[in-house]
Amino acid sequence: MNVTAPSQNKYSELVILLRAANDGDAACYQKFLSDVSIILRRVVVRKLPANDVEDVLQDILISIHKARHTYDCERPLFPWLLTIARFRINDHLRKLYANARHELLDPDAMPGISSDVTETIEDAEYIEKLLDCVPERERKILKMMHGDGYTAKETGTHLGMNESAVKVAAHRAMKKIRMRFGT
Amino acid sequence: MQTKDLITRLSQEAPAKSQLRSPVFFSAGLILILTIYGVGAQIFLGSRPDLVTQFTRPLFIAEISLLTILAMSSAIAAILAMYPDAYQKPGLLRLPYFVFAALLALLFFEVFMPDDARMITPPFSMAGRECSICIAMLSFLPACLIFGVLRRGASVHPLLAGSLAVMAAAGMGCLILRLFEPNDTLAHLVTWHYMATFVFACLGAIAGRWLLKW
Repeated sequence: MNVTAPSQNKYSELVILLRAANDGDAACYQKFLSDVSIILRRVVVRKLPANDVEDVLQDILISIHKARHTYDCERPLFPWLLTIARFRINDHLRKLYANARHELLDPDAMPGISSDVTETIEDAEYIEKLLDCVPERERKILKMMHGDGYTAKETGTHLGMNESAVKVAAHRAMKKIRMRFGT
Repeated sequence: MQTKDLITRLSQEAPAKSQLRSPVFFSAGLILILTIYGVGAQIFLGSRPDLVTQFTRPLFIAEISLLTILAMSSAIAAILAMYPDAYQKPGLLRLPYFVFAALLALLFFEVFMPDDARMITPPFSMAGRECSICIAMLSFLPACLIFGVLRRGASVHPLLAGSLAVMAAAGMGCLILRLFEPNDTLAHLVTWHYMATFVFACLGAIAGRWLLKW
């Protein structure tokens, strides 16, 4: 995990701030966490999507708060800090991947899954062949009702017929097709 | 909650917190306790009748030495694992596994020693499971103690830390049993002593995942 390290002065200041914080100085602790959050935000941004950054950054700050007694002021600060950050980032990624595995797939969101059956040439030709044996008006009714999804009432309005006449015409057309092709 | 508000809240509720003592302190303490426990358990159980004779065999000495190193190195590694940065000696966390591999390699080496009485292999029986149970019982208290110590830290390797904690305790259990039981059959040792230790370490990893959350 590469991060641009602050200058030596800034680094020493962070160590002094953390030491003071462990001695109970709230102001130093606030300054330490603020300074560290700027550095850590840069680390988190590189690893996670933008909408997760603040949540994970806050998780890391809480972890630093809980584990601050494990830092030995005589040893380098950054390995300690970045290990905690990496731990929380990996934790978050693990949860993210686990959730992704259990997510329901939305067929509507998948291109090509719900494509129209008449889209392929073979299917369209087959349906045209079926419709060849019925008169023009009945063919139009079937196309509107079964192909385009109109209701009997809407089809009637469009063709200037009443609803029951449309239903009767559709029924007769289907009967003719069944008799002709035995389907 | 905004990050800024969180920082303010954390800084306000932060009392003075004393720094966790160095791993040297904890390791030394733990090794001392394990040694006292081991000696006490050995006195309670007694030792094998041929112990003095066995200590004239270099391979037995090597096995006992490796077991001792396994228990001690696991204890030290477990202690290191409770620091988030593993006290900046992360390589040491893997050392016990190499020691364990060396122990198994030593036993494998002994298979090719035809003069050794240990080559006499009795038929496989489930009676040896008593040894595994004995190791589990001997290592229960030390394992609880090590987990208790580890919970004071903040391990970023909870699985590894749990496994090392149990490996240290089970290593001590194996050592005690090895000095007590006069059975030197390789198949028995591998199956009921060392494979059992490995299984316990795996269970320790699972326990570590739950017990060492922070």
